[in-house]
Amino acid sequence: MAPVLAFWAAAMVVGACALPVAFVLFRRFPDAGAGLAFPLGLVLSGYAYFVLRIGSVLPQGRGGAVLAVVALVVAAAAVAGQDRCFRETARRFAPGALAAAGLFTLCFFAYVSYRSYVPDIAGTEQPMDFMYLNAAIESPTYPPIDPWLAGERASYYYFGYVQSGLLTQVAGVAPEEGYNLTLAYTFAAAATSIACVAFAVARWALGVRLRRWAFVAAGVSVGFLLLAGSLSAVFELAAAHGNYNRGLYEAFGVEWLIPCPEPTGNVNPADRVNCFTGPTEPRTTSWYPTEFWFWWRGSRVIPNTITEFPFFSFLLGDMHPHVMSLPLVILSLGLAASLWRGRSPLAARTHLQRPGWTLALGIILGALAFQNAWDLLTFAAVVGAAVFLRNLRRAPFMQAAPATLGYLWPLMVLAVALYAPWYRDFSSQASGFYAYVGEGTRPAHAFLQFGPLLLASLMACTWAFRRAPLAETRNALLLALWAPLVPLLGWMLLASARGDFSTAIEQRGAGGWVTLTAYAVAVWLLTGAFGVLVRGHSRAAVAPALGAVGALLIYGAELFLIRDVFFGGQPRLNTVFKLTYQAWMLLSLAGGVALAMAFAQARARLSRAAWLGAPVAVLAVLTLVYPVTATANRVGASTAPTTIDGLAYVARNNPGEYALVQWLRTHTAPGDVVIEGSGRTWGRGQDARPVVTNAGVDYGESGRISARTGRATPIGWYFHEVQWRGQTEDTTRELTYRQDLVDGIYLATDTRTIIPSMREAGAEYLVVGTIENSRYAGLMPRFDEVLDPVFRMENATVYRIPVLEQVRTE
Amino acid sequence: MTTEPLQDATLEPADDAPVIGARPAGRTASVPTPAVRPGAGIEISGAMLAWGVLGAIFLALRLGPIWQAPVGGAEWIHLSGAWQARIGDPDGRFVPSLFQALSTLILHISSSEVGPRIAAFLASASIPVALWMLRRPLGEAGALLALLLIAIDAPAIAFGASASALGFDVPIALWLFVLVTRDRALPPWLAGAAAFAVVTAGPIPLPLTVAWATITLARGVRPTRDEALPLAVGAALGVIAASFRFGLGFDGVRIPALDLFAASFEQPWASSTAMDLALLYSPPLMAAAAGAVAHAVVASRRGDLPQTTVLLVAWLVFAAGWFLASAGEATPAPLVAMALPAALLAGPALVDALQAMLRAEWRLARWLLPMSGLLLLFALAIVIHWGQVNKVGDVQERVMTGLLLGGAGVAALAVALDRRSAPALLALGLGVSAFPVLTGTFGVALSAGAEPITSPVSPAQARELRDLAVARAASQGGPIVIHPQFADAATWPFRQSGDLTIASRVPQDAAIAVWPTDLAPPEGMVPVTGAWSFARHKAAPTTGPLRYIRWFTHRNAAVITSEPAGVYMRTSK
Repeated sequence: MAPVLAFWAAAMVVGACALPVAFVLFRRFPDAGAGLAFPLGLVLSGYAYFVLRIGSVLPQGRGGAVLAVVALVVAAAAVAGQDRCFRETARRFAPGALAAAGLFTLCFFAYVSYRSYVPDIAGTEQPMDFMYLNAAIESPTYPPIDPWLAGERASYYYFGYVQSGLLTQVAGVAPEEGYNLTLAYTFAAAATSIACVAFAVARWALGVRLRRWAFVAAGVSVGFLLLAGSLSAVFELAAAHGNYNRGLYEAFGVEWLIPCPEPTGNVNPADRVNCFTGPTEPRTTSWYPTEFWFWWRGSRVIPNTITEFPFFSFLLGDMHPHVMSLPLVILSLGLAASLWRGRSPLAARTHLQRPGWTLALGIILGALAFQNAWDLLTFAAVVGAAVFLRNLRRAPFMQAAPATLGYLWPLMVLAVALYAPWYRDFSSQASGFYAYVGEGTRPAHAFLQFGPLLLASLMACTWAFRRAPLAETRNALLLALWAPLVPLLGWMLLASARGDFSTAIEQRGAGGWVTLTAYAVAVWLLTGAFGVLVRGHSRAAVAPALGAVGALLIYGAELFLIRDVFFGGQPRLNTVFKLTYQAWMLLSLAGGVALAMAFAQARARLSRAAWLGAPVAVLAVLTLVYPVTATANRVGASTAPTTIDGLAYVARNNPGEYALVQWLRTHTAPGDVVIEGSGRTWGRGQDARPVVTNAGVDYGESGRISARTGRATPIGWYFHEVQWRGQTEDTTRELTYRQDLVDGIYLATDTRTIIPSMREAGAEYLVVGTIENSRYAGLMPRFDEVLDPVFRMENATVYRIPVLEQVRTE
Repeated sequence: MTTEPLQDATLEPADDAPVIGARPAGRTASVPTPAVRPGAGIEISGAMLAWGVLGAIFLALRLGPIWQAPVGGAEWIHLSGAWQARIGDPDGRFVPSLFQALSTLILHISSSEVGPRIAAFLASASIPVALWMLRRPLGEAGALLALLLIAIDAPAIAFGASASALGFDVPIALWLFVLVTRDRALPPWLAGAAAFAVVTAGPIPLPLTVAWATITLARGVRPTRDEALPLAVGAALGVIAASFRFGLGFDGVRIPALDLFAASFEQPWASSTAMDLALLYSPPLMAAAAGAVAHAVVASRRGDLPQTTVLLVAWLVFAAGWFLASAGEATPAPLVAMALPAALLAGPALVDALQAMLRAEWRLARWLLPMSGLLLLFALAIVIHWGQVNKVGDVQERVMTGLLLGGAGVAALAVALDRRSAPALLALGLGVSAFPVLTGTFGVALSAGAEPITSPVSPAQARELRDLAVARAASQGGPIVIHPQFADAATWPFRQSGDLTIASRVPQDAAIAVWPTDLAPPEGMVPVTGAWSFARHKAAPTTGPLRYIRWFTHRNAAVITSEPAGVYMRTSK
């Protein structure tokens, strides 16, 4: 419990330190941005840590992390000192700050209690996440090294790991605890952040009489973002109990959940691909589906894509950039809302008048790319649009546009310049922007995945169009037609330019076109609603605006794709994954506010149409089937003692390996290079020579030592390194060379070659543990002949190159 | 010689105490110090006498460790680093603080640890002067009591004459406090020197620096260019000097204060955690500081909180933050960092409390408090017995102890409930506190080697081993071989031993080898009889309350562990 409390306390301190800054940035928020102080504090202190480590001002280790927080304290004091309203703001908004702290605490401990049942850092890409966390903590120099490619710097968007490492170090907890506690932090910070923004947006829109509904908006937004799941879980639940209607399942495109039809005559294997091939009787004796990881399918509803959503991420426990960026992205949405609500026009000279604001904005916007590069374009565009709309309130288009550009360009330059050291090492895997020419998404799949959130957002139309004059509504809707049309035209042009247009039309299929149309209508209506409200200078315009952006992202993912390493097999896998994940955030926020407002209006007898919210609310409740059943499935399968230590399973199952990891942590320097198995499996060929029997190394235990200690190894997960550094000939040659070098050491027939090879790899240590014993079974040389065993327990050994040096003493 | 009663001195903080961070309001009248009256010969006031006595106590308590304390903890690491720097081969243990640079210089004159320790002692000798200069903001009696509290604080004594890289830290922190509470603007050279000193010192002045910066900035005060320039220049010179390691070569950008702060989390500056050491040495002072903070909070509600107190509270908060963050780390440094603001806060508060105690209604207290103390003593006697046998007594003893403690509590409560008598409870508090404080004080001052706060230590035996090895190598020829596991620990005891060979496999021609006992003995060598060791640890007796009690009554009861080393010599052919 002590690590949990220490981490919670560290998060609270960092959040509290950021309050003075939040008070300035979010003064118009009902809680003065107290709910956004958690991500704000962590981003600011994380940035301070990053740049001061690069400048060698802060040393490596806990002390450096603590000093970064101290720097935040001093900066916050300076901000408070310059803020004439600070005392008044602090006094007035103390209840909001307390509420944010309470919500954070509740969510943090709730997630910790869940994660304590399934704390293992194992499987999927969790070892990779753990590797980056350890790199952020242990790296002797900054920008941090890549532990899976000794001698090279990390080439990934790793700011989330820097922040996680900061909190882990300040709290003084072990990285394997920090990993799980960071997930809890992210869950809690996302909850407080979205509650803060949703509450503010709803309060601005609702007016005084209905303002208590703002609490509902905040609650629904939190629920949508962090609890809602795919509606496919409803079908999963019924199918698991053997209750299903084949026609209904086929209509909803989830026929793969129900048993294959009884074979008649010759069985065509193709007929048994899209159905459940397991037993036909009910698959569970419990109230929830007990099939192993049934909930995984909820993130793969649309074929050949990933349709992950936040609850799934937290359920799985991958500490990925797109998960850790949730609070930051909501912070940027809060900033956009705050910028939009401000009064004075924003232009280039504003930066000179308010340099502190500019710096804070630069750090936050720049962090979007550094934390999850996919977020930069979307959310920087939202911020830019907010600035433009603010200027448009005060000036005609021809004045507002240049003023906006004048304000945004320096900001964007600053946002990039502030993170220049990262850009220097970062190599993007994106290699082109294409029109998607494959099969479109089936309407049923789209409904199961995004239906409730889209419909909730569309509830904005029930109150946006209500009082507007017909002509104004018509004009707004006509203008809004451009919103879905421009991307469609772009898609047509792009497809034509590449000669794929006719293929694209055919491939999409009828279902795909229906889905596309539905998305287009949603974009159109939400943009129209936003237009009507903006023209009426309504403060309620934020919700449909965010909903429109969210719908546009889903729509865009149907039309375009970013080319990456998956282009050959599953071309739009990452594009759909990343864009719809962003859309989920936006629609959660917009949907929560829109639904709460609809109900508020309906209850106040202001709008009959608002009762349409009732079926949407039912759908919203049905989205909770996923979290309830999936959590029960995951927790119910856990038999180990509860703990927050992500390596406890290693200590239980393989004490020697666990002790080896601990030994390396305490007896080697952070910059030391350790040789561990490349991950390739070797056996004896026909001529008795070693041959590779399995070259797959990713997603497994290879690279485990470096992942768990932060000590670099010559080569870790091969394919991931290719993803991070680009699939070029040079890269693959270098990576293969390293694999061969490492394997050559473990397969050495002449032990005299071992030390020169280790020196070539820059390594002083070599480990032999579970992986090495299994992947090089019977092929390893007698390392004792040339190396010193410096640690040995069970089947785990650490060897070191013998030391022989002369030292002077006078 | 005439003496004046202590009450004549300024007891209350001055009403016009300076505002932290405010622009200097010009010279104000200084406090009259009745020292010399023209034509009346030399008169020594009570206050002067008190300053003299307390200054002497302060210095006396720090004299002993100069010669008798073993090299240990941070001092061991930093002296090893200074020695490496002295022979022109500085390594990671050389952190270029001003004191480290001075240590290196002194080691050119003498290879003993005594020289650097004397330098640290001389710097510490300025502390009474600094406290004397704080009479105005703290009140004369308050400053005197603060000096007393610092003088008898065991962690402060341990650092007072220690040749670690933090050797100048405590005086620098106190002098910095003197400077920032001055009611006049600092001359540029002094501001620059202060910035230089802070940057090139260790981490102990950091909490004050941060507290001062935070308060100043939070008040909306921005230094003018004239004020900022000397600070910036001083700090820059400090960074440059440290980065060039005071002439030993460039080593990248180095800020010793930050490097040593980080090192306090990473390096084994103690064998016990900061929390354990705090439990052993600091509860009374921390309790007094907590009382002082509560007193300050009450004062702030009345709106008459002096700015000096605000700064002290902020200083204490940042130091406590450091302590909490490193509660589980092996370092005593945050205890010293906390002790300074704690003493400066507690001093004036204790004056108020003592005055209240003297004014209290003693009719009830004069019977009940001795009774309470007596009952506590009886209870303590039983508990001490339990500690000696390391076992809690039978039911009868436990009931008896409970009754005694309950009786003591009831008596004290009876006094506390009577508002006029309540201040008299301080007498009981002082009595109870005196025992742990003074045992710690004298333990560290008179036999530092036996205290957990100066652990791990390099035992004298390591130097004997060095003599043996050097003699053997001289007589037989061949190198002295030391296993890498002992390489760092050997730096200090094996200084001036010619060339050593650090090897994990013993060369054939080795004359003598120092080898881990858990490894197979080197072939062809015979062990040298003896229980050799390179490091000795004294663990804090905090594994249970009984061990703790036992240690208080019997300081040698703490568990000592040695890291054994095997010594092997080449057999004659």
